[in-house]
Amino acid sequence: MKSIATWTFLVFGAFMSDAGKTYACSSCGTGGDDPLVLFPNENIKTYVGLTHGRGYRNVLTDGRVVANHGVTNRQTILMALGMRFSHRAFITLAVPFVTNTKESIKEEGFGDPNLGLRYDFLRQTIANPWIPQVQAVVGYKSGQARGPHESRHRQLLDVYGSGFDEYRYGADVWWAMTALVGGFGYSRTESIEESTSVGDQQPGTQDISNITVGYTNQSLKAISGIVRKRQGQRFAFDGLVPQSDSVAHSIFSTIEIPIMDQDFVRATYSRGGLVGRNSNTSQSTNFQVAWMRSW
Amino acid sequence: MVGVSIRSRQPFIAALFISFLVIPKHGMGVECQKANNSMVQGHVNQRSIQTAIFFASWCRSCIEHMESFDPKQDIIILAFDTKDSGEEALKSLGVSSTATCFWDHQDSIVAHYQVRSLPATRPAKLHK
Repeated sequence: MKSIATWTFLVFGAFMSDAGKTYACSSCGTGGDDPLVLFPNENIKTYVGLTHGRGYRNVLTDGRVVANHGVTNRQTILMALGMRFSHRAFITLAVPFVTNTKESIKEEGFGDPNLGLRYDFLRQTIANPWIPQVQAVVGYKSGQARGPHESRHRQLLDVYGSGFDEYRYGADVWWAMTALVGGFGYSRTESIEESTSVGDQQPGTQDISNITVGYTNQSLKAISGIVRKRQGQRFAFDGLVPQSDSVAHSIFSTIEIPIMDQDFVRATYSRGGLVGRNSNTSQSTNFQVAWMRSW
Repeated sequence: MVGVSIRSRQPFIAALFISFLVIPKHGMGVECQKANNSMVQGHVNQRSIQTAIFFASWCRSCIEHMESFDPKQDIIILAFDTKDSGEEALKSLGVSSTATCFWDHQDSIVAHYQVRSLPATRPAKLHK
């Protein structure tokens, strides 16, 4: 009961303070893993975002929080391109460049490129403001970057991705025909098994759900929400690894401001692993600024 | 006794529900004519049109721009949208069937008026 009260307070507290969203929220939807979502009048859109992460701490299986002896700061430059190829669908491609820092040691490299596709099953219309926009979401992330199981660094400073190819599918439901906006999204991510020197490995299936609420007018969009990530047990050494499943909750707040006709600036503050029940994950605090332009 | 009473009213309730769905709530709606830019320019030059108001059914902010719409001086350009959705949205806003609306199905009108986002209004006669 106490945790429900805490969640309610955090969601609406963030909303009332005009805060916004973290998980790369979108222009026209709750966002999910895609950094940008195109309005129906946009054919090409670019995105550049800079994220600074700090305050990393480990959350153990039983929920206890302990010090992290790895990365202390992480900067990510995310470049993304979105292209509409039909009245109802568009694709996005996002490529991150990650810099991991621990005291004076710094390692940097490209993360996993992420390809996404969104299709509008239902569009919002002024005529029926209570019918939401419903988007189907599918995506593929290529495990090009080094993952934790491939790290050559004792403190994992050379880890920039998951190390596995992943595909995802889900849906995004969004109401935005009134000043108060909101929605929810759900996606499932499956990793593709990979042969390694210690046998086949495969991370567990990941379920990601989010709830977003906010306020918007012609000169501002402010949204906040909660993201829940639950990952099943990892497969390794010819079996499921006990206690390798994880749960993580994060909260976010985003403010997005249109500048001129084609440009948008977005600022996001998020905190991971700090609310609700968390296990086998990490805590962190992230600040993000991003610039988007439609062409 | 109560069950019988409700059952006897079922046809009436059903008829009321269907009529709510079927009967137009704002009378006849405006029809948006499929058009390209040359058609719009011809219309603007023939009549004393002052303003082109760009509209789409998904554009909530467009509602405010439609509040100042004058059917005698302004035209509506339905853009980045389907004809049916746009006409339904205009009808829900109570736009008169006498209004002039063009559906920009090829994006040639938005290109002429350099409209890249909505809401947008432009002087109907551009001085280039």
